[in-house]
Amino acid sequence: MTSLIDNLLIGLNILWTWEHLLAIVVGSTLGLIVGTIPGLTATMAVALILPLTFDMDFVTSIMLLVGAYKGGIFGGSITAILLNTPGTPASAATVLDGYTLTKQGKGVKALKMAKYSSCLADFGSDLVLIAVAAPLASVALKFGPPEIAMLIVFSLTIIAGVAGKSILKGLISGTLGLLLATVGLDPIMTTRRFVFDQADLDSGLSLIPVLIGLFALSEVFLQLGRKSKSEADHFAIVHSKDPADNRVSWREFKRSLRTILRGTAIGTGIGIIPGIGTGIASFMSYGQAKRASKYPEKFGAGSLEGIAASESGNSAVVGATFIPLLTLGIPGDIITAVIMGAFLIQGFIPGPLLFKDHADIIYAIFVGFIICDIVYFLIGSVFMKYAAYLSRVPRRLLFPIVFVFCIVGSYAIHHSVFDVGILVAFGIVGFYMQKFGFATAPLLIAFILSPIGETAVRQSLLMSSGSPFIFLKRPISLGFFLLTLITIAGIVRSHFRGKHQPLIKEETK
Amino acid sequence: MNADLARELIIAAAVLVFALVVQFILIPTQIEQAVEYDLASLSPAFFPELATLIIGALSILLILSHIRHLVKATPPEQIDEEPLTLSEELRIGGAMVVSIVYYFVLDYLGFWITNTVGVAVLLMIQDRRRIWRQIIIAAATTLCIYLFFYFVMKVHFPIGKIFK
Amino acid sequence: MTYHLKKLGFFTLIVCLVMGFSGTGIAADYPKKPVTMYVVFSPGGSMDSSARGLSAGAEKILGQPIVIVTKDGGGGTVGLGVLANDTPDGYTIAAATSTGILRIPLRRKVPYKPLASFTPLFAYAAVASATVVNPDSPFKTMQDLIEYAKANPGKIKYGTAGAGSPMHLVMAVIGMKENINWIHVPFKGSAPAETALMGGHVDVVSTGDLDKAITGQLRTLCVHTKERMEILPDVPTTLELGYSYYNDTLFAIYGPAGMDPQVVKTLEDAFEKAVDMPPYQKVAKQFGLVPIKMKSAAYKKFLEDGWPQQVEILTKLKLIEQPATEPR
Repeated sequence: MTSLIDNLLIGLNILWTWEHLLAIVVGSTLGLIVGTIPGLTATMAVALILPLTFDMDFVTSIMLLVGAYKGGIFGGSITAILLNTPGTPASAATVLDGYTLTKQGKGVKALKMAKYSSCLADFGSDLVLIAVAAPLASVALKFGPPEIAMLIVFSLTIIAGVAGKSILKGLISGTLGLLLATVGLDPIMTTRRFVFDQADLDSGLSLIPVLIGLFALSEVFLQLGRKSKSEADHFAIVHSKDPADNRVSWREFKRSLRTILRGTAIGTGIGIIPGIGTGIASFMSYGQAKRASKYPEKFGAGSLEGIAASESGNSAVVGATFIPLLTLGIPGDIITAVIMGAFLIQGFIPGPLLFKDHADIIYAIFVGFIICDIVYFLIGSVFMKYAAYLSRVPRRLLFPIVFVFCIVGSYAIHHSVFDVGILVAFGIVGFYMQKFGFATAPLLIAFILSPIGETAVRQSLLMSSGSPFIFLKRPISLGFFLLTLITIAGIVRSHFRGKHQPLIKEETK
Repeated sequence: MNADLARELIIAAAVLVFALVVQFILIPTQIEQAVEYDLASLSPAFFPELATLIIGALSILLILSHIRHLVKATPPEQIDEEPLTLSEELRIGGAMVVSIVYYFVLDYLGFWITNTVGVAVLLMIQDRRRIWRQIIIAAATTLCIYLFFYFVMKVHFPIGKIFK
Repeated sequence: MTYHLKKLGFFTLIVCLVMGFSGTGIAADYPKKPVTMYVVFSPGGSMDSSARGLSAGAEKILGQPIVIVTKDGGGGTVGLGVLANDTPDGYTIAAATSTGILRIPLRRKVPYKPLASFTPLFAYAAVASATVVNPDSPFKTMQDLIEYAKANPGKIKYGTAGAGSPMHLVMAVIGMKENINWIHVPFKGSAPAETALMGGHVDVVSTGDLDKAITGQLRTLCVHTKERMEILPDVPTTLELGYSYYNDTLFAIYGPAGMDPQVVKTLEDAFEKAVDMPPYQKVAKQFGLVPIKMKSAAYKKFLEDGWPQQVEILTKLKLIEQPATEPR
């Protein structure tokens, strides 16, 4: 233990220069700005900063990129809560309760809860990274295709929790997501599926346009149509005069503490396994929190716990994705893969040798992570104060601007006009789905999970030469399989028992 | 049978039709089969077919549950919190048309024109007065976004085929 | 009040139109303004990093900045598709692999004519791939692996970056020649395949990312390059071992078809010098790229000769019946 502290002090020494600290601040700010703009993602922020770092000192460049990563994930939550527009896929679960709270005038409260959960969870996973990186990484390696397949199947059960009023329709929505995810090249055989001879569809439907279309653009359509019914309706974001609505009380926070801890654990676990990612972590944390909560019916109707769950889930992934990267040289998700490029360009090859040869720099980076958390907490607070001014903007002006951002964000990822078409299509689809009672969150979850799941299932079958028993023979995958069965049993039981449970709506309106 | 229940039944039936169309029309035509290749894993069509099977089964269950409501004369769950008036629906439709047109002309007219006109029209849908002010807002927004993305994010927008 | 607003409105509109029109321009001497380079793979990888390193050097020679624009998707085909429709004025070029021309169009229809839509400008690196195993694996040489595989059909599982990729083709060709029944497990890229290898889920991987092979984190059984690699001098090549296939994927720069020969010469000379400059050299060393310098005419010939060769290999391996895209 003392050697750990010694190493951290050495690292702190290296880190503590104006240049490095400035990099953290600039990175976090840029990340926050980009993440907050609906349609622009944390991935984009990091990818755009990367080329700028080539001429910089290594620690500076990494701090810049990591700051952007963390800031970006958090920034996405701000628009998710205020405008029903997830700024990144990671915040998709936050809209479920966040936007509802905003409509109730409690937007600031929601933002603050998001801030606390994110920072705590981020901090938590950073601690895990620093303390136990190496042994955890070897556990992560045990997740081969069968384990991932069963993990995905288990994750799919979350759909039941976000299906809304009609679970049948929610399941249809989810299966539709599965179907849409197959558009593109088959992952194993690389043959074309549902491509209709459009080369643009070879890579499948891009996630961002689908996400923004389903959640944000559909909302834009709705809002553009609505005539203002009263003076207060003029403004998109209701700003409540009641001070209790603008802060999170200690009691409220305490109630969500367990959820935050759970979310941190889930996010850390998912981050360590290469290839899964933030969006799934936030949904899984949300689903688990709902199941464990004393007030499950509040989830979706404006539950602070829900926000705590999804925010802690997605933030905890960030620190954890560096565990496989630094110890084994395997990036935990896309953004970490981009950052790995930065490592390589600078001449530092991530992997076991890195700890041996450059331990001091690694610890400097670790300390940087912690400082990053503090910095983005502060900058985030400032940001949120200004974000609250959005409530002064009249609705008829705000939503056309959000519309533009949706389009621009979808275009900017691949410089593709086709992606704009996907955006528009899913905006329309999302609107009518919600109108007819089909929840859109299940579609998104299935859309994200299915490609990974299908690939994993088929790879597993290749490994076992066609025998499906491979999923049951290996301990970890068997574990998740049983977990899935238990969860499904639980869902079915509660469905038939509490079928006529009325939705408890908040009294304030 | 009241209107709500009828609408629900139609929706469920539509989903079933969708599943059948995908299963029997889209899948056979749109999924390439690989030329002979050693294959122990499932075929490319497996998961899509599984999906349509599940959707089909679920839609049948949905239909059955609505029929059960019909028989028992209990109302189905409320869907719309606040039903939209016709003029609101028309405005929404208008906004959708704007976005569809936006997509199709973006490549030809370029970002400047498309975005300015698009935003202006959206503003006009909501408020038919002060047309000039809205065009200026639209143009100004377009300008700001263009500058931000071009210089900060290094993203280039389509110039427009008619200008090439 | 409205009068002033109207004037402001007209002014803004004119500014908009002028800026919209500024996309056109006729170059008298080249280059007069920044050059846009599409990179068809996403940032952080070897293609993107090497293209940036190369451009950093080239722009000093050209005297104008090279602006990198990421246009990824479809394994590189989306970006090439856009390039094919751009004006051949020399201000839009792209960095892409040779597989976008020589392999992918054979297996599926792409939005361009591989041999007719582009002016090949310069090929700057040969991509190295290798067959690797875990350091504690019982296979110390390629022969060990092959003997075991022959004696135990269906037991060896090898991972690759995807079906039809050069890495997969190497193993398939070896398998065919030696009559081995080994199982191919495709992954989405070399990195996940290496992860699976390290976790023991597959036995061997044919990988395109050599960073772990170079550091020794994974043991290299053979390399798939034409000649032995400097950084791995003790590892034999597939050609040495008697197999007729090697990975000849190149990273190259392309322009749309119909470019002015003067412009082509300016660009290829600039890139040729850029290969030797520090920014590119640094990247090449990190990613294990084998430097080559193939100018426009030579590279064009490489592609045209390569087409029928690829058709032959892919049909022999029964991956295609006939090319999916017409070359011209």
